[in-house]
Amino acid sequence: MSLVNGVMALGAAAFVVPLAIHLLFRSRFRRLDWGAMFLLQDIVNANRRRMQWHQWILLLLRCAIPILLAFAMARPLLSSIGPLGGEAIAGESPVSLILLVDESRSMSAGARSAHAIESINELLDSMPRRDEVILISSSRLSAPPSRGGPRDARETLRELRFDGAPFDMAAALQAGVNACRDATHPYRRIIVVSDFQENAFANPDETAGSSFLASLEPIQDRLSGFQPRPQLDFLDVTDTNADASSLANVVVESVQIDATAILVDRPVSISATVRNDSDLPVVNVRAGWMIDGRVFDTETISLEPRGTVHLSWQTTFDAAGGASVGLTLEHADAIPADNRRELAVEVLSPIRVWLVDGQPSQEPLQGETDFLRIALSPYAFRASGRLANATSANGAHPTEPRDLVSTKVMSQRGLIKQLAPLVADDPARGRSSEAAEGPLPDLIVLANVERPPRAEDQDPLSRYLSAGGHVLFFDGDQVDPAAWADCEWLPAQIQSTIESQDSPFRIVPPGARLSVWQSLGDADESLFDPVEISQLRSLSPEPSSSSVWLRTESGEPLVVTGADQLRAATAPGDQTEEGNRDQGGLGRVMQFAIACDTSWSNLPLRPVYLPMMQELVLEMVGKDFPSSQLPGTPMVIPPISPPGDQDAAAWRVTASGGALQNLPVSSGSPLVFHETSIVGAYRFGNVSDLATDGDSVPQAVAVRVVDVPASESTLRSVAPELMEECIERLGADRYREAGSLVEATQRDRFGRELWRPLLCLLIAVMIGEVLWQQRGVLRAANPFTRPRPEAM
Amino acid sequence: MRLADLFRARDVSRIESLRLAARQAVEGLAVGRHRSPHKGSSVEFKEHRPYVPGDELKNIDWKAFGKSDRLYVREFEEETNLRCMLLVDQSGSMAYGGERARSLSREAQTSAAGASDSAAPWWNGTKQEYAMGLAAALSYLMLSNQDSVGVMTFDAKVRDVVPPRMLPSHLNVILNALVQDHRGGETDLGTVLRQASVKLPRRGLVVLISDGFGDVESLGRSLTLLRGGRQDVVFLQVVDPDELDFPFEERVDFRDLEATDRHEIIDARQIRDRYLESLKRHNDMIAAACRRNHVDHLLIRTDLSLVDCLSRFVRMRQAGPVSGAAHEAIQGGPSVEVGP
Repeated sequence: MSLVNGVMALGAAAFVVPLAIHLLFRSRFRRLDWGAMFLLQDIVNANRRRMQWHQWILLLLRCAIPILLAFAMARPLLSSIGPLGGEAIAGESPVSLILLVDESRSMSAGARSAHAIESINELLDSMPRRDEVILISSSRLSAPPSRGGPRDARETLRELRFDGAPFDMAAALQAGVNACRDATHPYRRIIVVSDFQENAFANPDETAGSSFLASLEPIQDRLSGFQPRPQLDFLDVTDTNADASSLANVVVESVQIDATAILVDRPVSISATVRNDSDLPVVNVRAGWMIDGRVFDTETISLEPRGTVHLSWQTTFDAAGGASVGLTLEHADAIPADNRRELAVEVLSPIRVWLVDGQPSQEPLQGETDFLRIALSPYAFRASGRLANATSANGAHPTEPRDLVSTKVMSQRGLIKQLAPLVADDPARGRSSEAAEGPLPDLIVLANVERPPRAEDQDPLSRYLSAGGHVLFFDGDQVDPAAWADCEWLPAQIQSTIESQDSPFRIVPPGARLSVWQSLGDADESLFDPVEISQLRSLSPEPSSSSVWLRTESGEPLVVTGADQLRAATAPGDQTEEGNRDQGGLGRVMQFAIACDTSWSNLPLRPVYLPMMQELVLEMVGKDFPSSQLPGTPMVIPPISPPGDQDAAAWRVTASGGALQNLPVSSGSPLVFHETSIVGAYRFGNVSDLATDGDSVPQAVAVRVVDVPASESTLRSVAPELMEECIERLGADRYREAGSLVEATQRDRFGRELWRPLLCLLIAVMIGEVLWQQRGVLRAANPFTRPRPEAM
Repeated sequence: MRLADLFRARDVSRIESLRLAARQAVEGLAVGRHRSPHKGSSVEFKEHRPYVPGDELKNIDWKAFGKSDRLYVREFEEETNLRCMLLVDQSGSMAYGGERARSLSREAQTSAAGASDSAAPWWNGTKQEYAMGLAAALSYLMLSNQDSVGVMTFDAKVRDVVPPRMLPSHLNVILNALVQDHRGGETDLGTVLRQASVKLPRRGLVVLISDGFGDVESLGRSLTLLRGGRQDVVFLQVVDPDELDFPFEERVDFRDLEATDRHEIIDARQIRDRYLESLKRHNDMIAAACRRNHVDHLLIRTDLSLVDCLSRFVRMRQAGPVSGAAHEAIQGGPSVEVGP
């Protein structure tokens, strides 16, 4: 507390005046000889203590009057911002204001975003220029915050889109506390502007069993660590008076592709779910199916209150590359942004597989790779009518279904001869190039190959893997474990072979553990049941870098792959994990402990073999990237190179909304793109390809989609109990109106003048003094009310 | 001391015109206007009695003899004079005189200074002086009505006793006894009345003039004793207006008139209510004691002129009960306040 007119406080010394008067009054009295003393004596004896208290209280009241008057005139000031080191008084110290703005999609519902902007502007208008404003958007928590004065913050506010990822309260508070650490001024205030939806209070580390409130403890500790402690305020911009119709909303809940991979000229089915989040029916909504942002087909849908509609559409892609598919609704509702949802896909050309046969044979089905070739290209095999010529998808009749995979059988020497030129100089370039020798294969299968390529052959397989190629390794009786012992890219060390004794080895079905082979059955009913293995290779997988996909019932590893591939397969919906897969740019290696022919097992003769191999190849070759990702999360694009002699600087990205941006492409390393705050499709490719030419849609090398989960469209405020608990633990204040928040900030900054309550107290004391003085006197002052003896 | 020193001439003539009557039969030594418990010669027939030898023949009712053939003697009520004893309190508390009473005395003196008749220079507004004047007036009234009157002054004990006489010259004796200064000491009305009751052997009128400050229970017992002696008792309670309404506003050092070493410095405003409550309780107890013993009780404020007070008192006695309290008047007497 400080005094504006401190000198006036000296007037409090005037309390000695009533004290002196009181003492003087006590010494002044009138002498009176009195007859009815016996009446007085009883009264005095009975009330002496009470009269003394009366006198003391009267003296206290009289002394309080000048003291209160002096303090009221001194204008005491209560402020949480006190002087620091005696250099400044309240109101003169600049403040660092950390504004945490919820930019999630739910903020766009109704007038929330407008209310938020209006409230923040009102707050900024009340701030002096010397104050610092650090503006942190919830969609850019990891990015450096906007820092400047109130005017700068007002400019930054215009860039907010309120179409971001779900608000993470704990992460936002952490970012706010981090900003406090970097704040310029010692007095800091964190203001969280949000609609405080239920999903904002979910604990990001929920699997660890800790609650959201527990995640607040470190924040609370960090806040307490600051001196002075930053003030934390919550500004709730939810319009509590909004009627239900104004928040009625229709949302495209999901868009899905019902295929493992999308190939050129192959029909693909796209399904979508539309949800009505209101209590009113929605009729005649025009839904448009989009490819690369352009509507190709439309239909009209109607939705029951709180109902959902499932839509499907079939289309084909005529060119390989990145694309986006989606659904858009022409409907005006509370959140227009969620009326559109897109999905990033990659359209593939037929998959090129080189089969390196370690034991070739001219006899049908006697070669090491004969069964595998049929399994991968069954239509080509049927069209050819003979095994020897089933070398390519070109052999199939044009009207018949085309195979997903085209295979090419070769020996190890042939592999080295054909692969070495492709990976010799620029491996990353060779993969997508159309060189004279042909393009790099998508997958190389090593079947019963005795030893890896020699060092003098410059190890083309390692180069191939580094360039993003994939290798499928099958064991066999010709495989020399000692020769493969030094191979670094095999996930397991090759040991000796194991033969079954009494009964053959059987495979434990993976079930739901592996999404790749999930459809092949589980423990109850499995296509793996008839498979019998008579001999297998003992594998020693590296625990840290590999994982076992399949095992025999006796526990022997049957299929081993790298650990990252297991994560991808077991958690396909985890977009973050899938995103990580692209970062290395390395190919995948899958190692089988059995041969790919019937020498060690009857697997090639069982129905499970074909789908198993097809799914495996698609899984290995298919592009693992998220179909959509949250705003603000970085996009990782595998190494891409412009074709031919084009300059690398000519590659660009077309962001959502059509904005073009040059990309610093460097060959051989993945591209990480951070400016993903805007919802929509991002198309990466050559500038010449991306340049729009009339109505044609340019083909992109890669497409990524930024979108917000449909759950964000469910407008449900956090439970009041949780909010109150959060406020209590953090020592925060909650406001619903900007005016009250501004008033609080002004009060904290400039303090609260106490002269009004002091003046009221002074008046009360003066009245109290009069009443107290007249207590017992008032009745006596009116002779007509006194008790009198009986009158005549 | 002469009566002319106490009252102006016109006040004396007003006193002469008053006549005080006893409420009950009294015993006197001379024939008078008051009923006597004895039978005697008067015009008031009382009863017939059978003749016994020795009765005077003139008292035989011959008409009754003619009717009944038996001798009856007619008896008449004896009328006697009133024997009144004035008990005048001269204790310390009676020395109080408030401003309003003093103002009245100054007015009386001022008017007397310009008038040809006598003044009242003796009166300074104290209750004692008022009581003295009241006693003197009553004495003059009694004597002028051929009644016997005596006076007894007291404070803590009986000081002077002047036996009742009906001689006109007896007034000077009474006045001299009244002006004797015996002020001081505490009042004990009960004890004094018990002492006085011994000195009042015959039924008569006892007028107690006091402020009544003291033990009320003791006073009640003494009144009972007096009433047991067939005395017609009147209690004239003389109080100062200040004692009735306690008009003081400032801090006052109240010094006890009955004990000079006792005093209290009090903010008068603080205790006014409780004082008035206490005074009312005290007066109520006195009134109750008087009612219980059939004693006429008059509360007299000293800012009322003596003659007015006396005339009101005499009218009350002549009219019997006051304010419609007929039953109380027969049983004893009402408590009334006499004031301006």
